[in-house]
Amino acid sequence: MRTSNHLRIIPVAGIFLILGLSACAPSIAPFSETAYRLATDSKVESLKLLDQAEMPFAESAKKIEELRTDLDKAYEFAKGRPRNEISTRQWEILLDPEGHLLGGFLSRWESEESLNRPFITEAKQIISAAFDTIIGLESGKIKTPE
Amino acid sequence: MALFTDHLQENVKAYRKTILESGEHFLLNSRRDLTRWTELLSSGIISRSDYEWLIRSRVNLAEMESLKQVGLIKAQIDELRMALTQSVIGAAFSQIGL
Repeated sequence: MRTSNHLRIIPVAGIFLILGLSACAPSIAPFSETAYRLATDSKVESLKLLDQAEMPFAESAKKIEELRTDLDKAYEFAKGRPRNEISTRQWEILLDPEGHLLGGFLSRWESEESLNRPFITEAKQIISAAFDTIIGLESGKIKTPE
Repeated sequence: MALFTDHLQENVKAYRKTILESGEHFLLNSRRDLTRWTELLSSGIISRSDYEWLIRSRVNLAEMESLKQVGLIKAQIDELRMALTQSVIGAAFSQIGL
């Protein structure tokens, strides 16, 4: 009798353990096809526009405004997802107008009217790599059916 | 339990290697960029303010790269937890004869 009681405890303990493990929420948001697409589309649009930075800012003002709207959408989508603080922070750094990535580049273009080609080439590489960190993180998240 | 230990062995080792290689790659690229920018500054191709901006952009990029690595580690931990849960479920069911 004591032996069979002892044996019954094991699956019961196992069930409690499963419940305990299952109760722990994931620590990071799962992969999102939408987030991935927003990031990759933003990267392509941004790098294409940065190539225009040799020209006066005013000539590209409308396209820049459209880009900023798209970037805001990507940022807000990231910010609205639960457990997505890391990706959100990445977008904040990238878009910070007082920083030294995409947001800062656009601010500099605006304040200096136009930028020189060698600087544009170097800045584009860094900004491209910055986008790749966002895209790389998203594609590394766990894929679950949406 | 076999499912869990297999997952642990395969993935944790591989991921540790990826993190180390990623860090080395980042440092190497940083060094190359700094060398190139210094040459561009010395030859007057970029201005001092361009140079300082680019240096700061590397710092921002480093922060984004670190965030990416932290996020990937979190995803790995979640995956490990799921594998452990599946192993425990399997073990519990086999105990009760299912």
